[in-house]
Amino acid sequence: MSSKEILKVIRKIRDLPTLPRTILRITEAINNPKSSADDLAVIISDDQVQTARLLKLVNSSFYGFPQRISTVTTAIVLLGFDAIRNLLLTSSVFDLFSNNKTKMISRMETQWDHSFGCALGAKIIGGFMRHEKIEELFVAGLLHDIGKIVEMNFLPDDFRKVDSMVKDQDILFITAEESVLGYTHAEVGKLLAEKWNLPPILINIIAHHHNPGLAGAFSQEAGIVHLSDILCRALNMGSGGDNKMPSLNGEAWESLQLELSAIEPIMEKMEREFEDIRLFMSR
Amino acid sequence: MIVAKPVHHRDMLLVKEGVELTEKYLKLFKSWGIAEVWIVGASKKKEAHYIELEKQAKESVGKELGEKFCNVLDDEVMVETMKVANKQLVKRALNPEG
Repeated sequence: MSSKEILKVIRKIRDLPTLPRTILRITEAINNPKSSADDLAVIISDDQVQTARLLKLVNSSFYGFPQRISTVTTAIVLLGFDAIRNLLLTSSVFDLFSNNKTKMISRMETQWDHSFGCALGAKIIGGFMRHEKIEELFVAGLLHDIGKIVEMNFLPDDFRKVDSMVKDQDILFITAEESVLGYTHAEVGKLLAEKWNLPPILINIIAHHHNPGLAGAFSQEAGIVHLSDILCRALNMGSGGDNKMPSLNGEAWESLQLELSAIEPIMEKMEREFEDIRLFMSR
Repeated sequence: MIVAKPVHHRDMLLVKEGVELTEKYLKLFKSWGIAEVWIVGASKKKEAHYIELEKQAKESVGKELGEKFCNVLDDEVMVETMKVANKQLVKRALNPEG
Protein backbone atom coordinates (compact mmCIF):
# COMPACT_ATOMS: atom_id res chain seq x y z
CA MET A 1 0.00 0.00 0.00
CA SER A 2 1.34 3.47 -0.80
CA SER A 3 2.09 6.01 1.93
CA LYS A 4 -0.86 8.12 0.74
CA GLU A 5 -3.23 5.19 1.19
CA ILE A 6 -1.86 4.41 4.62
CA LEU A 7 -2.21 8.06 5.55
CA LYS A 8 -5.91 7.79 4.65
CA VAL A 9 -6.13 4.87 7.08
CA ILE A 10 -4.26 6.80 9.74
CA ARG A 11 -6.66 9.73 9.28
CA LYS A 12 -9.45 7.38 10.34
CA ILE A 13 -7.78 7.42 13.70
CA ARG A 14 -9.04 10.21 15.84
CA ASP A 15 -6.74 11.66 18.45
CA LEU A 16 -3.62 9.71 17.49
CA PRO A 17 -1.65 10.04 20.67
CA THR A 18 1.03 12.68 20.94
CA LEU A 19 4.01 12.34 23.16
CA PRO A 20 4.27 14.66 26.13
CA ARG A 21 5.68 18.01 25.02
CA THR A 22 8.70 17.52 27.30
CA ILE A 23 9.71 14.35 25.45
CA LEU A 24 9.59 16.22 22.14
CA ARG A 25 11.71 19.06 23.63
CA ILE A 26 14.21 16.49 24.98
CA THR A 27 14.49 14.86 21.54
CA GLU A 28 15.06 18.26 19.92
CA ALA A 29 17.69 19.17 22.51
CA ILE A 30 19.56 15.88 22.08
CA ASN A 31 19.54 16.30 18.30
CA ASN A 32 21.25 19.69 18.79
CA PRO A 33 25.01 19.08 19.15
CA LYS A 34 25.37 22.30 21.16
CA SER A 35 23.09 21.09 23.97
CA SER A 36 24.68 20.50 27.37
CA ALA A 37 23.65 18.35 30.34
CA ASP A 38 22.43 21.56 32.03
CA ASP A 39 20.23 22.44 29.04
CA LEU A 40 18.64 19.01 29.19
CA ALA A 41 18.27 19.20 32.96
CA VAL A 42 16.36 22.50 32.66
CA ILE A 43 13.89 20.97 30.17
CA ILE A 44 13.24 17.92 32.34
CA SER A 45 13.11 19.85 35.61
CA ASP A 46 10.41 22.13 34.15
CA ASP A 47 8.14 19.10 34.09
CA GLN A 48 7.42 17.69 37.54
CA VAL A 49 5.90 14.49 36.18
CA GLN A 50 8.94 13.65 34.03
CA THR A 51 11.33 14.65 36.83
CA ALA A 52 9.62 12.36 39.32
CA ARG A 53 9.45 9.55 36.77
CA LEU A 54 13.13 9.87 35.86
CA LEU A 55 14.34 9.88 39.47
CA LYS A 56 12.12 6.92 40.36
CA LEU A 57 13.45 4.89 37.42
CA VAL A 58 17.14 5.66 37.90
CA ASN A 59 16.92 4.83 41.60
CA SER A 60 15.29 1.46 40.93
CA SER A 61 17.15 -1.80 41.54
CA PHE A 62 17.25 -2.25 37.74
CA TYR A 63 20.15 0.22 37.55
CA GLY A 64 21.60 -0.74 40.93
CA PHE A 65 23.46 2.49 41.65
CA PRO A 66 25.03 2.25 45.11
CA GLN A 67 23.84 5.71 46.17
CA ARG A 68 20.54 7.49 45.75
CA ILE A 69 20.46 9.88 42.76
CA SER A 70 18.63 13.03 43.82
CA THR A 71 19.10 15.47 40.93
CA VAL A 72 18.24 15.37 37.26
CA THR A 73 21.73 16.63 36.33
CA THR A 74 23.38 13.72 38.16
CA ALA A 75 21.08 11.25 36.41
CA ILE A 76 22.00 12.76 33.04
CA VAL A 77 25.74 12.68 33.76
CA LEU A 78 25.62 9.07 34.96
CA LEU A 79 23.41 7.64 32.21
CA GLY A 80 24.04 9.91 29.24
CA PHE A 81 21.69 11.83 26.96
CA ASP A 82 20.49 8.91 24.89
CA ALA A 83 19.72 6.72 27.90
CA ILE A 84 17.73 9.53 29.53
CA ARG A 85 15.73 10.20 26.39
CA ASN A 86 15.08 6.50 25.87
CA LEU A 87 14.04 5.96 29.48
CA LEU A 88 11.51 8.81 29.43
CA LEU A 89 10.33 7.98 25.92
CA THR A 90 9.59 4.33 26.66
CA SER A 91 7.97 5.16 29.96
CA SER A 92 5.74 7.78 28.29
CA VAL A 93 4.77 5.47 25.42
CA PHE A 94 3.81 2.76 27.86
CA ASP A 95 1.74 5.24 29.85
CA LEU A 96 0.03 6.64 26.74
CA PHE A 97 -1.36 3.28 25.75
CA SER A 98 -1.84 1.55 29.09
CA ASN A 99 -4.46 4.10 30.14
CA ASN A 100 -6.44 3.77 26.93
CA LYS A 101 -10.07 2.83 26.46
CA THR A 102 -9.46 -0.39 24.52
CA LYS A 103 -11.51 -3.37 25.56
CA MET A 104 -8.69 -5.68 24.51
CA ILE A 105 -6.86 -5.24 27.81
CA SER A 106 -5.44 -8.74 28.15
CA ARG A 107 -4.51 -8.82 24.45
CA MET A 108 -2.62 -5.56 24.93
CA GLU A 109 -0.86 -6.90 28.03
CA THR A 110 0.43 -9.96 26.17
CA GLN A 111 1.52 -7.70 23.31
CA TRP A 112 3.48 -5.50 25.73
CA ASP A 113 5.08 -8.61 27.26
CA HIS A 114 6.20 -9.62 23.77
CA SER A 115 7.63 -6.10 23.29
CA PHE A 116 9.48 -6.26 26.63
CA GLY A 117 10.93 -9.63 25.59
CA CYS A 118 12.03 -8.24 22.24
CA ALA A 119 13.60 -5.18 23.90
CA LEU A 120 15.51 -7.42 26.29
CA GLY A 121 16.62 -9.78 23.53
CA ALA A 122 17.81 -6.90 21.35
CA LYS A 123 19.88 -5.52 24.23
CA ILE A 124 21.40 -8.95 24.96
CA ILE A 125 22.17 -9.70 21.30
CA GLY A 126 23.71 -6.22 20.99
CA GLY A 127 25.82 -6.98 24.07
CA PHE A 128 27.08 -10.22 22.48
CA MET A 129 28.03 -8.27 19.36
CA ARG A 130 29.59 -5.47 21.41
CA HIS A 131 27.30 -3.07 19.56
CA GLU A 132 27.67 0.65 20.38
CA LYS A 133 23.99 1.47 20.55
CA ILE A 134 22.61 -0.92 23.18
CA GLU A 135 20.16 1.69 24.48
CA GLU A 136 18.71 2.32 21.03
CA LEU A 137 18.37 -1.41 20.44
CA PHE A 138 16.40 -1.76 23.68
CA VAL A 139 14.01 1.05 22.74
CA ALA A 140 13.67 -0.28 19.19
CA GLY A 141 12.76 -3.69 20.54
CA LEU A 142 10.18 -2.15 22.82
CA LEU A 143 8.60 -0.11 20.02
CA HIS A 144 8.98 -2.52 17.09
CA ASP A 145 5.30 -3.55 17.20
CA ILE A 146 3.90 -0.14 18.17
CA GLY A 147 1.82 -0.29 15.02
CA LYS A 148 -0.16 -3.22 16.49
CA ILE A 149 -0.81 -1.21 19.67
CA VAL A 150 -2.13 1.65 17.51
CA GLU A 151 -4.36 -0.74 15.54
CA MET A 152 -5.70 -2.30 18.75
CA ASN A 153 -6.57 1.05 20.24
CA PHE A 154 -7.62 3.09 17.22
CA LEU A 155 -8.61 0.65 14.48
CA PRO A 156 -10.31 -2.04 16.60
CA ASP A 157 -12.65 -3.32 13.88
CA ASP A 158 -9.79 -3.83 11.44
CA PHE A 159 -7.73 -5.40 14.19
CA ARG A 160 -10.49 -7.88 15.04
CA LYS A 161 -10.77 -8.96 11.40
CA VAL A 162 -7.06 -9.71 11.33
CA ASP A 163 -7.23 -11.53 14.67
CA SER A 164 -10.10 -13.71 13.40
CA MET A 165 -8.20 -14.70 10.27
CA VAL A 166 -5.11 -15.57 12.34
CA LYS A 167 -7.19 -17.84 14.61
CA ASP A 168 -9.14 -19.44 11.76
CA GLN A 169 -6.16 -20.19 9.54
CA ASP A 170 -3.32 -20.39 12.09
CA ILE A 171 -1.12 -18.03 10.10
CA LEU A 172 1.25 -15.18 10.91
CA PHE A 173 -0.32 -11.89 12.00
CA ILE A 174 1.49 -9.97 9.27
CA THR A 175 0.21 -12.38 6.59
CA ALA A 176 -3.35 -11.81 7.78
CA GLU A 177 -2.81 -8.02 7.84
CA GLU A 178 -1.61 -8.01 4.24
CA SER A 179 -4.54 -10.14 3.17
CA VAL A 180 -7.32 -8.41 5.12
CA LEU A 181 -6.13 -4.82 5.33
CA GLY A 182 -3.58 -4.29 2.58
CA TYR A 183 -1.20 -2.66 5.08
CA THR A 184 0.83 -3.90 8.03
CA HIS A 185 1.61 -2.84 11.57
CA ALA A 186 5.17 -2.02 10.40
CA GLU A 187 3.82 0.67 8.07
CA VAL A 188 1.47 2.04 10.73
CA GLY A 189 4.29 2.05 13.27
CA LYS A 190 6.58 3.90 10.86
CA LEU A 191 4.02 6.67 10.41
CA LEU A 192 3.54 7.03 14.15
CA ALA A 193 7.29 7.10 14.74
CA GLU A 194 7.64 9.83 12.09
CA LYS A 195 4.81 11.81 13.67
CA TRP A 196 6.65 11.55 16.99
CA ASN A 197 9.86 12.74 15.35
CA LEU A 198 11.78 9.72 16.62
CA PRO A 199 15.39 9.24 15.45
CA PRO A 200 15.86 7.61 12.03
CA ILE A 201 17.30 4.45 13.59
CA LEU A 202 14.03 3.80 15.45
CA ILE A 203 11.84 4.71 12.47
CA ASN A 204 13.73 2.32 10.21
CA ILE A 205 13.74 -0.57 12.67
CA ILE A 206 10.00 -0.19 13.34
CA ALA A 207 9.35 -0.04 9.58
CA HIS A 208 11.60 -2.94 8.55
CA HIS A 209 11.92 -5.39 11.44
CA HIS A 210 10.33 -8.09 9.23
CA ASN A 211 12.62 -7.31 6.27
CA PRO A 212 15.80 -5.81 7.75
CA GLY A 213 17.60 -5.46 4.42
CA LEU A 214 15.31 -2.54 3.58
CA ALA A 215 16.49 -0.52 6.60
CA GLY A 216 19.46 0.95 4.73
CA ALA A 217 22.13 2.21 7.10
CA PHE A 218 20.32 0.52 10.00
CA SER A 219 20.01 -2.95 8.47
CA GLN A 220 22.17 -4.56 11.13
CA GLU A 221 20.16 -2.99 13.97
CA ALA A 222 16.93 -4.04 12.25
CA GLY A 223 18.44 -7.52 11.95
CA ILE A 224 19.09 -7.60 15.70
CA VAL A 225 15.46 -6.74 16.48
CA HIS A 226 14.33 -9.24 13.82
CA LEU A 227 16.28 -12.05 15.54
CA SER A 228 15.15 -10.93 19.00
CA ASP A 229 11.51 -11.02 17.85
CA ILE A 230 12.02 -14.64 16.80
CA LEU A 231 13.76 -15.67 20.04
CA CYS A 232 11.17 -14.13 22.33
CA ARG A 233 8.37 -15.81 20.33
CA ALA A 234 10.20 -19.13 20.79
CA LEU A 235 10.34 -18.51 24.55
CA ASN A 236 6.63 -17.61 24.75
CA MET A 237 7.38 -14.14 26.12
CA GLY A 238 3.94 -12.64 25.69
CA SER A 239 2.36 -12.85 22.25
CA GLY A 240 2.65 -10.91 19.01
CA GLY A 241 -0.84 -12.12 18.07
CA ASP A 242 -0.11 -15.42 16.34
CA ASN A 243 1.25 -18.86 17.07
CA LYS A 244 3.67 -19.47 14.22
CA MET A 245 7.36 -18.67 13.83
CA PRO A 246 8.29 -16.29 11.02
CA SER A 247 11.23 -17.27 8.81
CA LEU A 248 14.62 -15.96 9.82
CA ASN A 249 15.90 -13.54 7.19
CA GLY A 250 19.15 -15.12 5.94
CA GLU A 251 20.88 -11.85 5.09
CA ALA A 252 19.97 -10.42 8.49
CA TRP A 253 21.50 -13.45 10.24
CA GLU A 254 24.69 -13.12 8.15
CA SER A 255 24.98 -9.42 8.99
CA LEU A 256 25.04 -10.18 12.71
CA GLN A 257 28.08 -12.47 12.33
CA LEU A 258 26.98 -14.58 15.29
CA GLU A 259 27.90 -18.23 15.70
CA LEU A 260 25.09 -20.76 16.01
CA SER A 261 26.44 -21.54 19.47
CA ALA A 262 25.53 -18.01 20.62
CA ILE A 263 21.80 -18.78 20.43
CA GLU A 264 21.73 -20.82 23.65
CA PRO A 265 23.48 -18.31 25.98
CA ILE A 266 21.44 -15.45 24.50
CA MET A 267 18.16 -17.25 25.14
CA GLU A 268 19.25 -18.35 28.62
CA LYS A 269 20.05 -14.75 29.54
CA MET A 270 16.69 -13.59 28.16
CA GLU A 271 14.93 -16.20 30.29
CA ARG A 272 16.79 -15.13 33.44
CA GLU A 273 16.15 -11.39 33.01
CA PHE A 274 12.64 -11.29 31.57
CA GLU A 275 10.74 -11.03 34.84
CA ASP A 276 12.98 -8.17 36.03
CA ILE A 277 12.36 -6.17 32.87
CA ARG A 278 8.59 -6.69 33.09
CA LEU A 279 8.56 -5.39 36.66
CA PHE A 280 10.79 -2.43 35.77
CA MET A 281 8.70 -1.33 32.80
CA SER A 282 5.45 -1.74 34.72
CA ARG A 283 6.43 0.83 37.40
CA MET B 1 21.41 -36.43 54.50
CA ILE B 2 23.17 -36.29 51.10
CA VAL B 3 22.08 -33.92 48.34
CA ALA B 4 20.77 -35.94 45.36
CA LYS B 5 20.49 -33.11 42.77
CA PRO B 6 22.42 -29.81 42.51
CA VAL B 7 20.69 -26.91 44.22
CA HIS B 8 20.43 -23.68 42.22
CA HIS B 9 19.09 -20.23 42.77
CA ARG B 10 18.23 -19.00 39.27
CA ASP B 11 21.45 -19.78 37.38
CA MET B 12 23.77 -19.76 40.40
CA LEU B 13 24.88 -23.14 41.78
CA LEU B 14 24.59 -23.17 45.58
CA VAL B 15 25.32 -26.80 46.48
CA LYS B 16 26.58 -29.66 44.31
CA GLU B 17 25.07 -33.13 44.43
CA GLY B 18 26.79 -35.53 46.79
CA VAL B 19 27.33 -32.91 49.50
CA GLU B 20 26.38 -33.86 53.04
CA LEU B 21 23.88 -31.36 54.44
CA THR B 22 24.80 -29.59 57.64
CA GLU B 23 23.20 -26.77 59.63
CA LYS B 24 25.28 -24.31 57.60
CA TYR B 25 23.62 -25.42 54.34
CA LEU B 26 20.13 -25.34 55.85
CA LYS B 27 20.72 -21.70 56.88
CA LEU B 28 21.98 -20.95 53.36
CA PHE B 29 18.82 -22.45 51.81
CA LYS B 30 16.64 -20.45 54.18
CA SER B 31 18.42 -17.21 53.28
CA TRP B 32 17.87 -17.90 49.53
CA GLY B 33 14.23 -18.86 50.06
CA ILE B 34 14.78 -22.48 49.01
CA ALA B 35 12.14 -24.65 50.63
CA GLU B 36 12.90 -28.06 49.12
CA VAL B 37 15.90 -30.03 47.92
CA TRP B 38 16.30 -33.58 46.64
CA ILE B 39 17.89 -35.97 49.13
CA VAL B 40 19.41 -39.39 48.36
CA GLY B 41 16.95 -42.06 49.45
CA ALA B 42 13.97 -39.66 49.23
CA SER B 43 10.63 -41.31 48.79
CA LYS B 44 10.52 -43.30 45.55
CA LYS B 45 6.93 -42.16 45.14
CA LYS B 46 8.01 -38.48 45.01
CA GLU B 47 10.74 -39.24 42.50
CA ALA B 48 8.36 -41.22 40.31
CA HIS B 49 5.91 -38.29 40.46
CA TYR B 50 8.63 -35.87 39.37
CA ILE B 51 9.64 -38.15 36.50
CA GLU B 52 6.02 -38.28 35.35
CA LEU B 53 5.72 -34.48 35.54
CA GLU B 54 8.92 -34.11 33.53
CA LYS B 55 7.61 -36.54 30.89
CA GLN B 56 4.33 -34.61 30.60
CA ALA B 57 6.16 -31.29 30.36
CA LYS B 58 8.45 -32.60 27.61
CA GLU B 59 5.51 -33.98 25.62
CA SER B 60 3.43 -30.83 25.93
CA VAL B 61 6.30 -28.44 25.15
CA GLY B 62 7.51 -30.64 22.28
CA LYS B 63 4.05 -30.68 20.70
CA GLU B 64 3.60 -26.92 21.07
CA LEU B 65 6.98 -26.11 19.57
CA GLY B 66 6.52 -28.64 16.78
CA GLU B 67 3.37 -26.82 15.66
CA LYS B 68 4.96 -23.40 16.07
CA PHE B 69 8.15 -24.20 14.12
CA CYS B 70 6.61 -26.53 11.51
CA ASN B 71 7.23 -24.16 8.58
CA VAL B 72 10.79 -23.06 9.38
CA LEU B 73 12.79 -26.20 10.20
CA ASP B 74 14.76 -26.11 6.95
CA ASP B 75 16.93 -23.44 8.64
CA GLU B 76 19.66 -24.63 11.05
CA VAL B 77 19.34 -21.45 13.17
CA MET B 78 15.63 -22.11 13.68
CA VAL B 79 16.34 -25.76 14.52
CA GLU B 80 18.82 -24.61 17.18
CA THR B 81 16.35 -21.99 18.45
CA MET B 82 13.66 -24.65 18.81
CA LYS B 83 16.06 -26.99 20.63
CA VAL B 84 17.04 -24.29 23.15
CA ALA B 85 13.43 -23.15 23.60
CA ASN B 86 12.46 -26.76 24.30
CA LYS B 87 15.00 -26.97 27.11
CA GLN B 88 14.01 -23.58 28.61
CA LEU B 89 10.27 -24.17 28.44
CA VAL B 90 10.46 -27.64 30.03
CA LYS B 91 12.60 -26.17 32.83
CA ARG B 92 10.06 -23.33 33.26
CA ALA B 93 7.16 -25.80 33.42
CA LEU B 94 8.89 -27.79 36.15
CA ASN B 95 9.99 -24.71 38.14
CA PRO B 96 7.22 -22.15 37.81
CA GLU B 97 8.52 -20.10 40.77
CA GLY B 98 11.79 -19.49 38.92
